Amino acid sequence: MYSFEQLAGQERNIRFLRGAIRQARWIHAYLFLGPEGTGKKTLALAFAKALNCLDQQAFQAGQACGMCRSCQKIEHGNHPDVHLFQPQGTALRIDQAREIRRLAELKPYEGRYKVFILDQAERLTAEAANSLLKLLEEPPDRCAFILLASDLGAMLPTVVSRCVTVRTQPVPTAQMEAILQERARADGRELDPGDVRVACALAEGSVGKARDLAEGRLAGLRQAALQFVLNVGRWSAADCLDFSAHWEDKREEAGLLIQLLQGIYHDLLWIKLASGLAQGYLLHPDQAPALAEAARTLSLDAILQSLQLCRWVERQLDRNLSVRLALDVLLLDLRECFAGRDVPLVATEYEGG
Amino acid sequence: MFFRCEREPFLQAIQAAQRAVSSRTTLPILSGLLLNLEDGTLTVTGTDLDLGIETQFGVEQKEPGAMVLDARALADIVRRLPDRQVELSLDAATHLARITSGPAHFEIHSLDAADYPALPDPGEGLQWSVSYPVLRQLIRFTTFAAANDDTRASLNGALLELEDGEAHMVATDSYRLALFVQPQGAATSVKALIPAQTLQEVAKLLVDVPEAQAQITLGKSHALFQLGSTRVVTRLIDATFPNYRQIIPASFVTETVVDRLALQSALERASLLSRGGAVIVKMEISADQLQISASVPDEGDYREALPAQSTGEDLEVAFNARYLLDALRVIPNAAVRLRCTGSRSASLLMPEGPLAGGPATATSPAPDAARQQGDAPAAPEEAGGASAESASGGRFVYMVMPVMYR
Ligand SMILES: [Zn+2]
Repeated sequence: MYSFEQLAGQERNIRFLRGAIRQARWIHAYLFLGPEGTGKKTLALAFAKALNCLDQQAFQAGQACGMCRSCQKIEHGNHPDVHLFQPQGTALRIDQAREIRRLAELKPYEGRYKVFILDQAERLTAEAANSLLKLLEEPPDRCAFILLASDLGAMLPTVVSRCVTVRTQPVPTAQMEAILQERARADGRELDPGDVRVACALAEGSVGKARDLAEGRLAGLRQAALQFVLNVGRWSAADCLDFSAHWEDKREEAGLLIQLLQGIYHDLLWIKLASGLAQGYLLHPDQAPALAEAARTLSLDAILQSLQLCRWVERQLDRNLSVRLALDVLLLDLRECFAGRDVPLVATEYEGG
Repeated sequence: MFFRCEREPFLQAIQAAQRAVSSRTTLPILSGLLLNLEDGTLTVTGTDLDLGIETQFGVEQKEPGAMVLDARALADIVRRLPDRQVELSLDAATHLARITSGPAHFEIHSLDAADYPALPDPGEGLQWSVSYPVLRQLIRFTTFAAANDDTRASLNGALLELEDGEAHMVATDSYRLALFVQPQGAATSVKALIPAQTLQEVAKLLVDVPEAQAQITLGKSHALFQLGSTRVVTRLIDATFPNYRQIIPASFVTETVVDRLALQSALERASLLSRGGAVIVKMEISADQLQISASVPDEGDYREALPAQSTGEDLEVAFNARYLLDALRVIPNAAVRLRCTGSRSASLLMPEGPLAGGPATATSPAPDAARQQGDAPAAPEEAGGASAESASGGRFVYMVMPVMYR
């Protein structure tokens, strides 16, 4: 749902935008500025809903009811007055700017306001941006422009100066964990707190990304990664290769798995170096006893080398090394590490695979 | 929603409404057609928000309702159904539409009809009743001269003007201008700038029913064409059309009359010099001859002389061949007259004599009170001839700007 209520950590922005609607002021051109995944698009669509909500009471309060035909159409991407423009290929192009200008001249089809949302506005070509200047300066009646951008430096200053800037911030991890759990409960589900914690750690401040991770593939992957690290001492080489085979051609998931392995070895490192540390410092506090057990059997060198191996294979994966080969190598090497054998990093050996 | 109907009228309704569906839409719902079933009538609607087409026909209704189905998928399926009967139902729980015809059985996903935008209401406006053949003529003789996707909005439309008992339709892309005058306007005066592409879609819906009348409503921001059981609603272009009456020249230094087909074939030959590109033809007009030549660098030269009857000064003037061909292809007369004001100012190309009753010509009288003349009795269609009576009394004027000849 695109609604103000769903936007955690943006209370000030929401209060500001609601005020703008209530007082019918500044409803012209905005720049929503913030890192990827901090809810800019959700905020823009929630704003579009509030501007067009058919529930008069909600509208006057600067809110959206979420139930009326207009709110529903925006939710489904089907509102004829709410236009989302995204880069075609790498850029927002001049023909898109022309279409925006054409549409801006028309009366709203059925809504109160026409809302133009330009996603990744830093990708406007100079030609396209310049052709929109006049429109941003003096928007026609009943038009709102919302430019979404994460890189202020890549924007034309003339565009930025015509917009009211609204900054979106990454949400602190602890707050994000609470939000994820709250939403899951609202949907009648319970998420594993361990999964939520790891998802939020990997999400770089983006609630959307954390939710995707926590509700998506993370659950199984985290268990798989833990199972590997905690048991690899008893595994044969063939077990490792069987395990690796699961991720054949699943590059994204394999990358996530390696990130998770790193996180676990990181926890082992903390336990080893700062024994007796509060569990709050661990990424996987729910596994603390098992991790402590593993940390006892491993040497500091083995843990450090395992971490190094993970980082190195992660880089190889970015260079398009075959997923299967990368994981085969990594898992076998980690097994060697666990057994206390030294594994040399020979970069050239695997390159170009 | 549940109904049974004949495949053919269903397919026709789908294909008519599909004309308004754009492939470039950003709203998922607009790639679909709305099927709305009420009181035994199925209404099929398509729109791209600028143009909306809805058409109705009677079906055997079992349960009223509405749904949106992907336009392309629906058209493809219905076209290939094995039986003359079609049965369509919607499973409200799964949103699956079931299409059954003879032994064939389809299940396709539907979208929520409540998301489909209502077609705009043109509101109170001037009503004009015009026969299908006359409307088709107005459109066919003018819309080809409009620009396609010009940033100057007024050039993408054709202006319909009803004034002094005449209907004018005119379109220009700023290099040439096509004007058709029909002595059958409404009593009041009104102007509307209608997107040329919409008019071309309207023309395709004007099936050959000589007696049929189109009811046109010209509102403030929208126009409605009621064509039998089909409604076409279009947004009007909110821009000022160039004042064409002032720019059409009235006096000429040179005039020449030439066989229309001979000129058309000569220009088509000249166009062979460039594949796809513009070919500039030079015309040397003298008393009894029209000399046409073209030269395209790296391609070749072309030269041909046509017999002609000219008056006034000898003149050299050059045109883009395509612009002349566009007009020659709609003129049904055996001969055309080219009236020039010089080598750097506009020329007029028009049928010689009254507009011939060619395939594009209207044959039915319009019952509108405002008509004053030209309602000659229906004439059999002719291949065209300079002496043929114009069945509709329509007048076609085509203005074209010359170009520099290197
Ligand atoms: Zn609402």
